[in-house]
Order: sequence, then C-alpha cells, then structure tokens
Amino acid sequence: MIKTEAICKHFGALKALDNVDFILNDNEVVCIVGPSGSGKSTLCRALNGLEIIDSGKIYYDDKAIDFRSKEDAKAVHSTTGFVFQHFNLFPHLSVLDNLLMPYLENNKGSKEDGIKLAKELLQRVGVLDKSDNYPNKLSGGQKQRIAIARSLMLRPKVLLMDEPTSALDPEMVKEVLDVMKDLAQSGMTMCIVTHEMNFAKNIADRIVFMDEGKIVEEADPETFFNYPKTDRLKTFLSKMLY
Amino acid sequence: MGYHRVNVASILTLENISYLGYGAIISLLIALVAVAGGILIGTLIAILKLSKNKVLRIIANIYIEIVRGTPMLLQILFFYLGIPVLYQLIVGSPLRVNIYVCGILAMALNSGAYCAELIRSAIEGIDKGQREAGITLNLSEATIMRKIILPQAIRRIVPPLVSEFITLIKDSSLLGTIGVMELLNRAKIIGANNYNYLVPLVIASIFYLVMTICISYLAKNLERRLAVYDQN
Ligand SMILES: Nc1ncnc2c1ncn2[C@@H]1O[C@H](COP(=O)(O)OP(=O)(O)OP(=O)(O)O)[C@@H](O)[C@H]1O
Ligand SMILES: [Mg+2]
Repeated sequence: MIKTEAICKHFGALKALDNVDFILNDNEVVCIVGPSGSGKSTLCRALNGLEIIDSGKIYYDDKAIDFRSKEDAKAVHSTTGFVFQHFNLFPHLSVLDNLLMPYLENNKGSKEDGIKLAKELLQRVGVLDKSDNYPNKLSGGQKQRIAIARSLMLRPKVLLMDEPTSALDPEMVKEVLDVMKDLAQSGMTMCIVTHEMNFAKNIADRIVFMDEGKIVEEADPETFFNYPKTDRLKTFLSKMLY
Repeated sequence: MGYHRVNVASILTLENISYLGYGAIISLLIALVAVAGGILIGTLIAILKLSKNKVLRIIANIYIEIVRGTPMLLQILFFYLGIPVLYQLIVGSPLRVNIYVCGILAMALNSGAYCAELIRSAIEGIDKGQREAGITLNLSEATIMRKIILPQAIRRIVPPLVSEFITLIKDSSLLGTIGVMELLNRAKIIGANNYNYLVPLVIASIFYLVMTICISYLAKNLERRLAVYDQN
C-alpha cells in the first residue's frame, strides 16, 4: 500500500503538487486523469522518488519513506516497477539483456533463472520473438510492451505507469492496453496516469482527477463518469468525451 | 653568386624519404601518447566537472579555460623554458628537461582539457530517461554509469576523439620549436640542406595526409561496429 500525506512539490514558483493526499491500496488499480500540467506525472514520479517532494510524507506499507536516503529508496525501487511514456529502453542492449541486466545486477538469481523469467515475461507481453533484437528497430508498441516486461523483472508488488500509451501511434495503443489489462486482472497493484478514458472506465477500481496540483475529485468509474460532483471535472469530462 | 638550380631528383632520395618517414612515425607516436594521456586527464577533469562539489567543478573549469584560452605553442614553451626556471627558483638546483617528455606532457595536458569537454558533453547528452530507468530498476549510481551511461557515451565519443587525435598529429609539429625531430622539423632540415623547401614540404604533407586519412577511415569502421544497435 502507498499513501501520501499533504505532499507538496514546487518547480520554482510553480506549485506542481499542492497538499496531495493519495492512497493506493494493495491489489487496487487507480487511474490518474486530468488536464495537461495538472501534476499527474509529478505525483506518479514522486511516489517513486524520481521527484523529491518539498514537504509532506510518503508511506509504503505504513513505513515513512525518505527518498533522499539510499536505503529507503532501494527498499522502494526493489519492489516497485515504473513504466515511462517514452519507454526508456537501453538502446545498447538487446531486448533480452534489457530485462536480464537489472535482474542480475540486483542479484535476483542465476543467469539461467533470469533468462527463463525474461522469456516468460516477453512471452506474456507477446514479443518473445524479438528477444535478440536491439530496441531501436522495434515499433513503439513493441518497445512499451518490452518496457513493461522489464519493469516486472524484479517481481514488483506495485507498478507505476506515467502515460504508457501517450507516445504511441494510435494503432499500437490497444496492444499495450491489453497487456496492462492482463496485469490488472492478475491482481497487480497499479497506479496509471492516462488519457485513455475508456480504459480507465473499464479497468480502474478508482479514478483520481487532478487539477492545478490538487486531487479535486476521486471515485469509482461508475460514479466518476456518471455523477461528477465538481464543475472542474464536469468541464474536463465534457472536453474528453468530445 | 647566382641562384641554385632546382634539382628534384637529388632531394627525392631513399635516404631523405625514409628520414621523413621516420619523422612521420615520431609525430604519430607523440600524438598517440598525447591523446592517451589526454583521455586519462580528460576523464579525471570530466569527473570533476560532473561532480556535485562546487569547488571541484570550479577547479575543472579554471583548468579548461587556461588551456583553451592560451596557444598550445605557449604551453609547450612554458614546459620547456618556464618550468625549469620555476624549478630553480623553488628548489635551487637546475632542472634538465627532456624535450620529448616536456613536449608530450604539454600536449597531453592540453588535450586533456578538450577531451574533458568531449567526455562531459557525451555523458550529459545521454537522455535523462536512461538514468531514471536505471533508478527505477534499483540500480546504483555506479552501475547506472557503468552499464547504461558509459557504454552509450563511448560510442558518441569515438568520432570527436578521432578528430582530436588528428589535431594532435598536426599539432605535434609545434614540438619542432623545442627541437623534437618530428616530421615537419625534418622537412625543414632537408629543405635547408638542399636550398629547396618545396619538395620536402610536399612530401611531409603527403605523409600527414596519409596518416590522417587512414585514421579517419579506420575510425569510420570502428564507429560502424560500435553502432551495431542503431542498425539492427
Ligand atoms: N522538471 C520540471 N521543471 C520545471 N517545471 C516542471 C518540471 N516538471 C513539471 N513541471 C511543471 O509542473 C507542472 C505539472 O507538471 P506535470 O508533468 O506533473 O503535469 P501532467 O499532469 O503530467 O501534464 P501532462 O498531461 O502534460 O503530462 C507543469 O506546469 C509543468 O510545466
Ligand atoms: Mg505527464
């Protein structure tokens, strides 16, 4: 379980996160939506220490985490996967080595076990045939599926995803969403920043709406889409659904 | 006394050509040692420049500014003529310096500043998402450097380092000023002995060009092999 208490993050004078209380329960899938610049990425990244918060508290399973401490950061990074909008695969490593290197560097097991797990995961996301390729010649959809497989190599308990389909050509969005759906249904705890409203509606247990660095409203998908309470969410929804 | 007849054949002897060829080898070796030293020094300076410590960064910057803001010939003369004086002032006894050691040291220190900038910009040029991916995969800073950043940076560093090497081959001619018998110095000597500079200078040019063109060619091949992941 991840919980934040009144976290704030400034970029210069700009308040990217403004007293955010966020919670992600075990086995829950939460989607974060909101207009551009509302702080969705900043929140998602702060949960993993990619942004260091200015104030407030972040808890993992009720343990307060200070990402400036190497120990705390390691504890989180070894149990939390992260998927980026732009994949961030390692271009100098083959697909298999992209998965294997972090596994071996983390002393997760023998090389044989690592290869076995990597192949299982690549099979699961449907790109096993690309094991020996280098990332640069693959399609965006393939790259993102590989990045997801890589994020699973350390067997994380939680997966954080920052707009995993936003950099993809439209025809490749579905193949990635399918993988995410499969993960969600397997019980993975997930926090997904997304603009895919239909995906959120179908997959999320809860949807969080952010605006101007604040969580403005959150609800289960049914309530979220059919009974929005604030004007800001109503406006946002009317824009998103044409 | 009239003028000397230009006699090309009397200069184009095997002896003269191999005398120049030797000079070419000396120039090449000087550049090789200087660039190796330059890469070593450059790596150290780049580490200082990338460090979080402000004092270290300032030291690196001062070094780079001094080297880049003064002529290389001055730096060479400083080592050959200036350092011995400094030594005598401080220690009291005279210092005998070897022209090769002096010259190569000056060139390596000079090259170090340029290499530092190449290395730093190659490392900083790697997309920050690469480092972030490493962090989220629970890799230490050292592992991120070793397994993710450097392997990619090295591929980018090869082309500018090769131009640096070529520059050093040409700049090694400056060491003639302090008496090093490199290619250009030898061409001048042959020219003086024969009252004809044209032929030895042309031959020296050819030697320089053969070296630089061969190195460019080899570098292109190396780049292609290093960049395997870009094509696959
Ligand atoms: N590294 C940074 N430096 C300065 N400002 C930043 C930085 N990162 C984010 N910001 C600013 O903080 C605010 C929130 O950014 P954030 O990326 O979290 O928004 P977002 O909701 O993810 O938007 P988008 O949908 O466009 O991805 C924006 O105004 C953004 O310009
Ligand atoms: Mg964003």
